[in-house]
Parts: sequence; structure tokens; C-alpha cells
Amino acid sequence: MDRRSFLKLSGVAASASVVGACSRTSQNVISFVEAPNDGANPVDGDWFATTCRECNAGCGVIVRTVNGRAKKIEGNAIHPISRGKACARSQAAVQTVYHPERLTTPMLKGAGGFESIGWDKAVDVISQRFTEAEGKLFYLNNGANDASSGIVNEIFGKMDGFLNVGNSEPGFESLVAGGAALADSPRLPFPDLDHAQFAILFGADIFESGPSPVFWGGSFGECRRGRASVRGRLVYAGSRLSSTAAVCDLWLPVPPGKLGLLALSVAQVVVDIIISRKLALTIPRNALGRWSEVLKDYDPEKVAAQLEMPAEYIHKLAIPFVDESPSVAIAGADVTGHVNGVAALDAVEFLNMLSYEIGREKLRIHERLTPEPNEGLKRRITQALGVDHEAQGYKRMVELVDGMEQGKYSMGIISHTNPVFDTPAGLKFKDAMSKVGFTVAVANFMDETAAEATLVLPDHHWLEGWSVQNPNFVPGVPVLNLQQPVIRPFVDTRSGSDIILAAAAAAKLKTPAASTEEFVQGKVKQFRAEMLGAPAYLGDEEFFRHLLRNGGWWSSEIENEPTPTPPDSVLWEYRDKLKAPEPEFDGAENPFYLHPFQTVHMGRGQGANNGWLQEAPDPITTLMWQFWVEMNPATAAKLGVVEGDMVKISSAHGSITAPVFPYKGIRPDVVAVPIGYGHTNYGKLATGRGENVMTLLGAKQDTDSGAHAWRAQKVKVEKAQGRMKMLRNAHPEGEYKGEVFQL
Amino acid sequence: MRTLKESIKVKSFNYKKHNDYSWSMIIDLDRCNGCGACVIGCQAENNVATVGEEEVGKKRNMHWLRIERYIEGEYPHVKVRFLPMMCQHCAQAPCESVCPVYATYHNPEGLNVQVYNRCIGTRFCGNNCPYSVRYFNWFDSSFPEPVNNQLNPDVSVRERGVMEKCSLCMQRIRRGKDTAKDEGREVQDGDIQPACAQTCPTGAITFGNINDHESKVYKMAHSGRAISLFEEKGTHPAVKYLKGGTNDVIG
Amino acid sequence: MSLDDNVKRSADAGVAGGHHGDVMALPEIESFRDPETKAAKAHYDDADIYRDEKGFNEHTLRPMFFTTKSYFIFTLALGLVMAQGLGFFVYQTFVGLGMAGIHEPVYWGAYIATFVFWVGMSHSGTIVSSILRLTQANWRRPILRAAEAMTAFSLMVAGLFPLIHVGRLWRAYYMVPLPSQRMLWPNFKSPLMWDFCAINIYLTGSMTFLYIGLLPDLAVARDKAIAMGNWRRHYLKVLALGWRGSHREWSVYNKCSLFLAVIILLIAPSVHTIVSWDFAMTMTPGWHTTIFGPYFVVGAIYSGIAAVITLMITLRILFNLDDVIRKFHIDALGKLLLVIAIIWTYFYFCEFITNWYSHKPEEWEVMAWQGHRFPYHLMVMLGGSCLTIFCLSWRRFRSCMPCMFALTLLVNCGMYIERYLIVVPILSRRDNPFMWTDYTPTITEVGIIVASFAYFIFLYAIFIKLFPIVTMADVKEGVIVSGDVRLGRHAVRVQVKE
Repeated sequence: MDRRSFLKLSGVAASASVVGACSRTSQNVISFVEAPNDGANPVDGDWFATTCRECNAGCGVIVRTVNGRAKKIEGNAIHPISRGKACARSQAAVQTVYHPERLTTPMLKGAGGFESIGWDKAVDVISQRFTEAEGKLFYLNNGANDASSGIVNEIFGKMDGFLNVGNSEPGFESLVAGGAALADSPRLPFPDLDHAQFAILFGADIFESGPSPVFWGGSFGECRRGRASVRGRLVYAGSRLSSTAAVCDLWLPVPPGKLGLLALSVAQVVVDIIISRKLALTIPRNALGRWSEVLKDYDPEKVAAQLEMPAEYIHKLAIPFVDESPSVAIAGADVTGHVNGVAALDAVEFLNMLSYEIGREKLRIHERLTPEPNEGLKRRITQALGVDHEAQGYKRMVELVDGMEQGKYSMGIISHTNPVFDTPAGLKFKDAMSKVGFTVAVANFMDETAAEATLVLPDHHWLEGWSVQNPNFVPGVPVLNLQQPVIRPFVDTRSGSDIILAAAAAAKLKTPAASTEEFVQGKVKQFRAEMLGAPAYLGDEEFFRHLLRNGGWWSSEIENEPTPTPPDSVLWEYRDKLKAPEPEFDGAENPFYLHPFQTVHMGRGQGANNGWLQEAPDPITTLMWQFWVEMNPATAAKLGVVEGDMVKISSAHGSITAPVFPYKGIRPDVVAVPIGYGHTNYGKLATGRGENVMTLLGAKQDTDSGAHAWRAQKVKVEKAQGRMKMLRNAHPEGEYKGEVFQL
Repeated sequence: MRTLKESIKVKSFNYKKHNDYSWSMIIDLDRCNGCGACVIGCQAENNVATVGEEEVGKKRNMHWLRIERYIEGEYPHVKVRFLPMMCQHCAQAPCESVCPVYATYHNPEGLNVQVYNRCIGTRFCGNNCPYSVRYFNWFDSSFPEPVNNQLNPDVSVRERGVMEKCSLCMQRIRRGKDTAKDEGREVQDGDIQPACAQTCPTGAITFGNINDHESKVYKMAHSGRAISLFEEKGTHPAVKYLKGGTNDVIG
Repeated sequence: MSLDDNVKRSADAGVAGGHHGDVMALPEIESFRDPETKAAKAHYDDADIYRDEKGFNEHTLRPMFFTTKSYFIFTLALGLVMAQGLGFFVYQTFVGLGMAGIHEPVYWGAYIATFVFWVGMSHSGTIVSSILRLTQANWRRPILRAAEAMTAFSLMVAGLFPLIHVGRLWRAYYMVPLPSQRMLWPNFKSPLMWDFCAINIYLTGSMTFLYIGLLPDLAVARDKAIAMGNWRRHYLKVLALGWRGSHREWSVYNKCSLFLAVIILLIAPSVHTIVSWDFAMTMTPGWHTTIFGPYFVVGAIYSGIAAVITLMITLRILFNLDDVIRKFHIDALGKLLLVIAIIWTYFYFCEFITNWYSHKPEEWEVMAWQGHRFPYHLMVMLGGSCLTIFCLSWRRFRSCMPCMFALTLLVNCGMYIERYLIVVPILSRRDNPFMWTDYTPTITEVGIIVASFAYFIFLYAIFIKLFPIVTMADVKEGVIVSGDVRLGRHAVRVQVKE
């Protein structure tokens, strides 16, 4: 080959390769840029159905375990409460089961503090005390209606002097009393938000402190955008723009304690509209006339000044309430937190009844009025598991504290609740507790109450133990939740109820079962005959396994049954309930209303030792790892404070200092403080973080139900020394610039 | 013969012609109530580290999914908005082109993948992300005994010095596809749910294959409410939002 | 003596680096000078040492061979500062980048600002040197070496910062296109890759440029070291490549430096343009602007020239080089600085005015934040430009050494802050307002950055002791190729075309 042809050939080759390179063949070559499997090689896990016990809502969950370790908690898709979803606190439970501060050994208080004792000795000590107590003991839990309470109830329930108490969320009794207004048995009101087109939320922070944030979340989603052509509209009335209020279309800053007045005023307009439009309702017309007479005093023009809003706003709430039927009214913490809570709840329920009558074809608000076949079963399950509605709430707590003061109890069992921390200063629980000779705390972590107890029993985490649970809040169907061990106990813990059973057996008391598992099985067997839709061909054992796979049993029978009109007697009685008493306040001479509130993450303080929950930004303030007090920027300016400045909030019962977070969504005469902070003995993450707002609260009670009026407190606020860096996720200027997204 | 314009389009953000799947997420802002369940769900699924009080003060929290909260108006006409924000999986991702080591690339299914092993931590991608959804491991993430028992084996724990971000739960997509393959079928709508979508109590988050015209996400993405954030930047995100309704119920 | 004679002499004498002991008959400059000519007086009122080559060599090589005790103390102090920076760096590498103040989304902070600053500094030398070489500005001669060395050293310092700032230093080699088992090349679409290449090319180019320029002087130094028996002879022998000053050597040398000057002149602006593209190629508001390329280049030259002046004055004082680095040189550099200051101010104004006029929210946010939060920084910046333009307009100021020293330092402070303002506020006010944040450097960052300055000075200090700092060959050549010619009553300096 001569040089010339070599050059020619190479020229041809070069141009060919250039042309070739211009084509898109590179797409067909496996690119090394793409990582194999995109870097993910998932393993299979085992999923177990159980019940979340972070709060008492009773959400069914499924837990993924890999190699015997719990990895992820998800909602149980077939469960009527969780509907396949889970909340932040539930998700974070995998963090508490592997928490380094979990209690690992039973501890008895001696002269020099707690001493570790073996499980055998713990059983001995307790059984000895059982014998000595002779039934003079109390059982206190967080209001859970579960296996543990059922076991205790079956052992001691018949004995004189035994008291079981549920330290449930504040306002529980008021809600129950309000829910009972139209029904013949106590239960929580259950408005059907799912199918509503228009909803008025009377201080109902349903996503933060409601009976089940997950259930309410699902309902809200359905209401808002669940239907093709309808966008559900919500209005929130209350003194603080909570994260629930944030999703509502309108916020009405009503003065504290006046929500009942607003409800009655709306009801007045609604009744007027019904009468003037001659709407065909099943309600007797003379009942309507009677109500209209009673409601005359609540004409919007008359109450507008008290409600600090123009009268037309009330009309504009009432008109869609009729026009956009079905509509619902939901009452919450801002209603039950005041001394006139039950009265206000009655007014709200009255609205619901009207709404049902207007839109009766579409709504199942008043399932409580249904004489459904399962109603009896529901009640019997509740009673079988000890802490029923009557046993729960603040009134019962007061009874307990009085009893402890008087020395009625020689022994107490406190299970998974922290009353020393989360009851108001006015109740003086800690002092009373010290008068009880022997207290057993069943807990996962050392907390304020466990520290005061004589014996601390480390319980299984709810992912490790057996239980059966009847949720307080049931969406129209009876539910029996089953809780099964999805993982082996991670540390050397024993089930609290097992220990009680063992000790009772040793004390020669009559025990319902040899172990909790057996008790749970027993309960399933007991109610099996009544469980509608239960497959009859299964043996007891198989049926139990069948339920475990589902996470429990619930009925789906009555979903779409039409609701009958309330009995006339109920309707007639209602006229006496339509009243709005003036709210009363503890420390009325002080200038500011105190607005304690639950946050999404902290619960009543249980979440404080969980790193995930501490680091999750609060929805409204976006603060992390931090305690704060919210006040209107105008109030802050008047006090001469800016964000991060410390203020001292004081009442007759105590005082706290907290950094200020100015927030536009709060009334200028209200200061809001989150609860659940300020632990003094709850592990490294929680202890010393903020202060406990409960120390400010007096013991004011609802005049009707005896519930703790936890927002009936007025306080002084003054500037204090010091500043704190606010650990906020949102930038203080940027948070007002959301318009860049053109949402 | 394809026109030039068409070929550019195909290459850039239309995965339809080449692939069965093009993953997309739709977030209904009208449904989001800011509860933060998705944030914790994501943290549990993806081994996202907690950084502690001190680092949070320096704004170094690692939540792959955060809920942005914006306030509008003056008292009493205040409106608070929530905006869940995670990696938008842009078809024209600004982060991908600037990475010198291909630590982030676009996979054929429309996902923006982060390969931790390749990352050297120049943080250029973070600078070029208009949504600010990329997070850097400033220190070694701490999962001390016994907390490490919770770690999800499907997701690697990141070393200090690498970038990380929402993967739309790549491992779940993988598992969903593997299962479908084992069963000899295509992935059905609803088979795969990222942790946030699965946990969201209000059902604000929907995930699916936008190439499937019967899928929920396709229908939602073609409803009148669908918007992309920073649309004017031309990033063509795979995550789309459904606009909220009007604020005023009254007047 | 006529000009022709001068030309002849330069042609056959080989000027510099002749064999040891050769005494070259240098032209008596005194004889050219008309003491009565005012213009001449103004330019040449310094003492003149161009008497004989040996004397000149002795004088200019003195800083190299003679070291005072204070030099050791000074370098030791520099070493301590560097050691603390190294300590911080090592700690940061082992603990995590969290030691620095950067955070989401201010992912680049003081490190990158300092990187840009040092890259800018590097533009002094080579650009100045090559421009002046190509334009045959005769006054350039004594400052070339110092300026070129500065380029090399500031690039060496600058090159450290990307390494300091990456998250996984131990994986930084992924950016190098090595055929390896990873089967993955770097992403050449990334501006960082361009930057990586540009910096490497520029470093190589400017090192070569520096070295080629050094050759004849190395030979002089070698001869002296051998004569003295100094230890430096070992490496000088190698580095001088056996330079003898032959005709062929000189002609190759001249061609080579001319060629390199052209190449460097092309590379240098592209390097800083590419550095600016690290910012401008992103879609970040405030960065994404077409002005960044030229703006950065001008800024770089601006700070570079200022730094050259600072350095010249320092060398002049420290090593008693008054007669080599003359007021005339500082004056000429001052004029150059004035021009660049005006151009830079124009760019700065352009950037601001377009943002202000369009008032695009996301871009204006950045500007407003800068103005609001950093009024004093802006003052320094404007001081750095307005004050400079004003002062440099006066010849008396330009030829006042302390004034120029202070002013050029001020210019570089201003330019540093300008770099900081380019990097930080724009990231602090990104598109997503939720993620806005503020940034302050931590002690780690400050420590490392201070150490980088110490490192630069240290490199320089070492260089002075190892290599001739004055471009002896060029100076001597300049003397030969130029002379004063009387035109009527005036003496005019003329130059033979090189």
C-alpha cells in the first residue's frame, strides 16, 4: 500500500466514523452511567397486622419486619379507623422500640433510690401487696380500653374499694356528654365529615388532638376532594389558627369560651331559614317554632358584638349550612376546654341534627341514633375491658386524687400514663400519689410518674406484646382491635398484664386467664357469636388466627343504612339545652387567655423522647427541638418582645418562661403554649426541653360534665431576661413569600 | 424521519416512547393538612438521619420531604398554606448536568437517581436545584446501637460528604416491578406506593405511572388544577401539584 | 554611542547569563541623559546601578543568596499559621464538612469565594506579563518574574480549595478521567469539569511560562552558586538545562516565550470565564447572567494588578531593589490599574442596574439582601472602585509608594468581599423562599482561609530564596535595546524593535 492510498483510506475511515458517531446508536448501548437496579436491591419482609397504641384512637397498622426487627409501620388498609394510613406518631414508634433508654429491669424503690430486682422478686412483691391491699387499690391508665385494663378489672372489679381510672385526653367527658345529648348512651360524637359538603369546625383541632387524627385526616380528604365535582368547604372558628384551621377556607377568631354562642347564633339563622323557606322536614313544625322562640336571644345582630365579628358573617355561615347540605358541625378542644363546654357541645350537636334533617338522604351523621344490632355488643366489649366511658376523664381523676388524699388506697397500678406530668397543677396529683403506700408503674421509659412510683415494671413495647383493644372513638361500627407481638421482646421486659396475672395467681386471687394471650383469645371467643360476618366454618383457634391476620374484627354491616328521625322526646327536650352560659376563667383578673394545645408530634408529652418527633418541624411554627409560646405580633410589640425573646407567663399556680414566636394566626388577647414539653425526668431528649404548661393550670371543671376546663385559665405575660435562637425550618421573611409558587 | 424538534423532545422528557413506565407523583394541595406523617414515614423508610438540636439550628436537617408553610394576609384574614416539598424529579433536571461525576442521573423511567457511591460532595447539584431539596451529609449520620436495628435494609446509610435526596422510594418501585415480573404481568396502578403516599392520612399524595392513561396520576395530571412548581424554569418535574381551591367561603 | 551600536551589542554580546566572570561593557546610561531635561528627570531620578553586569547580578541575586535572621522568623511564623490551617483541614476531613458554616442551601461559602479570589489573583501575573511582552512595553521588564510567580502560586493555592471543600476528599479523584474499574468517565457536561480542566491547563501553562522565563537567570544564578560553592548549585545545575547563552539558545528562547505569551493570553481569560461559568451556567437567579464571564475576567485582572503592585512595593522595600523596581514602574502599573478599575466599575454598575431596572423579584431579592445586610461591605467595594479611580487619576498618588501600597491592599480587600458577595448572598436568597437562610463562616473556614494566605506568602518567600526574583535577562536586554535620543531640547527614550 502506498502512502497515497493509505491516506485516502484513512480519510474515508475518519469521515465514516464521524458520520457514524452522529447517529443515535449510543442509546442502544447499556450506559454505565445508569447504576445497576438504580442502586436498590429490596429484600422481602414479613408484614404483621396489629394495633397502634401510641394513642387511644385504635388505628389498625401493619408492621414490616426483617430478620426479626421492626422496620416500618403502615396503616392497615382494611381497618375502618386507619383506612390504610398512619400518623407521624405511629410511624415513629419503631424509634421507641429501639430506644436506648428503654427500661430493662424491674426496679424497686429502696432507701437509696431505685434498685434493680429480678422478675421473680417483682412478682413476689406485687402478689404480697395484692394480698395486703384486699381490693383497696386503683388502676390508672391512659384511658385505653384494652387487655390490661380488662384483666385488672376482672381480678379486682368486683371488690370494694377498687377504682379504675382512665387519664384520657382533656375534654373527653364533655365530648361524651355532648355526644350523649341526642342518644341514650355515652359515646363520642361522630359527625360524618366524609360526606359533608360544608363543615363548621368549632375549635376542633381534629388533626392534632382529636380522637383519631388519621381517621379525621381521611374524612377531611374525602370531604375536600373525594368527590368528582364537589369541593368540601370548611370554616374554623376558634381563637388560634391551628394546623386544622389552616386547611379550612376561613378562620373566624372567636373570643375564648364564646363558641357555643356562635353555634346558637348560627342555629338561630338556620332555624329561621328552615321556617321561612318551609323546608319539608320530618321534625314537627311546632318543635321548630319552639326552638325559634328560644333562639331569639341569639340573633346575629345581638351577639355579633360579643363574638367580635360582623353579624353578616354569621349569616354567611348559616346560609351555606343549609344550601350546601349535607353539612356538619364539629366541636373540639376550644369548646370542651371551657367551663361551658357541654352547653356549647349541645348547641353544636343541635346544628348537626338540623343538618341531618336537611340533608338526611346524604349523610349518616347521627349513627348514634341508629338502634343498630351491634350497639349492645359495642357497649359490652367496652365494659368487658374495664375502663369504659364512665371510668375515664378528669372527674374520675379528681375522685382518685381525693381517695388517695384520704388514704383509701393502699396500692395503685399506673399503666402507660404520666399523670404527674400531664395533669394540671391544680389537681396536685403528685402530692396525692405520695400518700399511697405502694404504687406500681408499668412503663417503657422512666418518666415523672414512674420516678414517683415504688415499683417500676418495664412493659413490652406494643410491638412486642399481646393485647386486645376497643377504641374509644368508633366510626359507626363496633371494632375489636387485636395487638400481637410482631417482634420478639428486644430487651428483658415482661408484659405488664402477665405480671399482674402471675402476681394475682400467687396471691390466690381469681384470674381470668393464665396469660394475656390466653385472655385475648378468651375475649375473641366470648364475642365470636356476636361478630357479624365472622366465618362460621373456622375453629376457635383458626378464627383467632384469621382475626390476627386482619388485625382484629369490625363490622361493615351498617355503613349505608338510613338514619331514622330522633324520637320526639329527644327533640322536645332540646329546647332546654339551647343556652350559652358565660365562660368563667381561673385568674380572671389577668390580661391574657392561656391557650394550651396539643401538637401533632408531642401528644400529651409521650413523643418528647423520640428523636424523629422532636426533629419533625411543627406544622404551624416549623420549630424543631424547641418549646415556644405563640402570640400575635401586635401583642408581642406591646410587650416589647421580638421572636426568640423570653417571656414569663404566670398564673396563681405557677409560672413558665418560654421564647416568643409571633404568629399572625392568633387572637391578640390569647397566648398559646404547646403541651408535652418541659419533662423533668423522661430521658436525654425530653428532659429540660421547654417547660410544662400544665403547671399553670388550675382545676376549673366543666359545670356539666366535670371535665377539666384546660383553657379556662387567664395569665399574666411579661418580658423576661434572655433570648433564644428559634430553631425554625421556615425562614422568618421567606415564609411570607409563598406567592412565588403561584399556588 | 423525525424532525429535529421531535427528536429533542423525545430525548429530553418524553419517556413514553421508549419505556413502559414513567413515574409521577401528584400532590393535592387541597387535601394536605400539614400533619407531617409523610415526613416521618419517609424518615423511617429511607434511613434519614436525625441531626440533633445544634445542627437543626444551622438548618442542616435532612428530611427528604419537608412541608413548607407559608403565611398570607394580616390578622384576622390570615391564610396558612402547606406545600409538601421533595425532589421534583425534573425531566430537565438542573442538578444532573452539573454533577462532574455522574452521581446523579436520569433513569429511563423518569426518575432522578442519586448514586451515593459516586458522589464526591461538590454540592454543585444542591446549588443548582431551584427547589432546594437536596441534602448534604455534613457529618457521619449517627445510628448508634440499638437505634440501628430499625434501619431499612433496602436503603443504604449515607456516608458523610455525600448528597442525598428523595428517590421516590426507588426500592419500593423496584420491589413492585420485581413482584409484577414474578407474577408475569405489568405493574398495576396502585401497586407501588412511596412511603409518603402510603402514609398520608388525607390521601393528598398519589403515585403512579403517567404513561398509563388509565392511571390515577395521568387523570390528575391532566385535570385543570395540575401545576408544576417553578414551571417557568422549564425543569418539567415529574412531581406535580393540584392547586388548592379558593380561600374565601364567604363573600 | 548610537542606537546602532546598541543593537549590535545586544546581538553579539548575548546580554545575560554569559559565562561567569565576563564583564560586559554596559552602555553608560549617564551619558545618554541630559540632566537638564525635566521629563528625563521625572522618569529616572532613582539611583542607577547599571554600571556593570557583575554588579547588577550581584545586586539582584543578593536576596537569593543572603538570608537574614528575620526571614527565618517570618517564615516560621507563616509556618505556624499554615499549621493551624492544616490542623483545621485535617479535622474537617475526618469529622465532616459540618465544621464549616455552610449549610443547606448555602452549599458554597467562603471556601469557594476564596477559590475565586485566588484564581483571580493568578491573572495578574501571566496576563500582565504576556500582554506587556506582546505589546513590548519596555517598563515591564523588572516585574515579570514576580508577577509570573504570583500566577503560579495563587493557582497552587486556589487549586487547594476545591479539595478542601469537597465532601469526600478521598474520592476526589473521580473527577480525573482515569480508565478504571469504575468504567465511568467524568461528566464533561458539568462546568466543574471544565473548571477542573481549565485550572489544570492554566497551572501547567503558567508554570512552563515561569520556568522558560527563568532559564537565563537560572544560568546566572547557577554560575554564581558554583563559584560560591553554595548548596543551590545542585538543583540550579539541573534546572538551568546547561544554558550557555548561545545564539541558538537565545533565538529559541525568544520564540518560545513569545509563543507561550500568546497561548497564555488565550488561556487566562478563558480560565476565569470558566470559573465564572461555575456560577453563570446554573439556573440560580443572580448567578445566571451573561455578564459573568467578562466581569470575572476584568475583576481578576483588577485584583491581580493590584496584587502585583502590592508585591512590587513589598519587594522593593524588603530587598532594597529601588533601582530595579522604580517609581516609574509603579506609575505605569497604576495607569493600567486605573483603566481596569474603570472597566470593572462599569461591569459592576451594569450588573446592578439591570437587576434594579428589571426588578425581577427573585433576583432583586438577592440585591436587596446584599444592600440591606452588608452596607459596609458595599462601602468597601465601592471604595475599592470609586476611591481607586479617583486616587489613581493623580500622578503624584501613583508615584507615592505608601499610598499605592495601601490602595492596592484596599482594592484586594474589596475584591475579596465582592467574591464573597457573589457566592453567598445569592445562595442565601434562593428561588425557594422557605429555604432562605443566613450564613457566617466558622472558625474552621477562617482558619483555613488565613492559612491559604500564609501559604501563598510562604511559597513566595521560599521562591525568592531559591530562584532569582528579578528578571535579570529582560532588564539587561531592555537596557541594551533602548536608549535616550535627543530630539532638539528633549531626550526621548526609544527602543529597538525586539
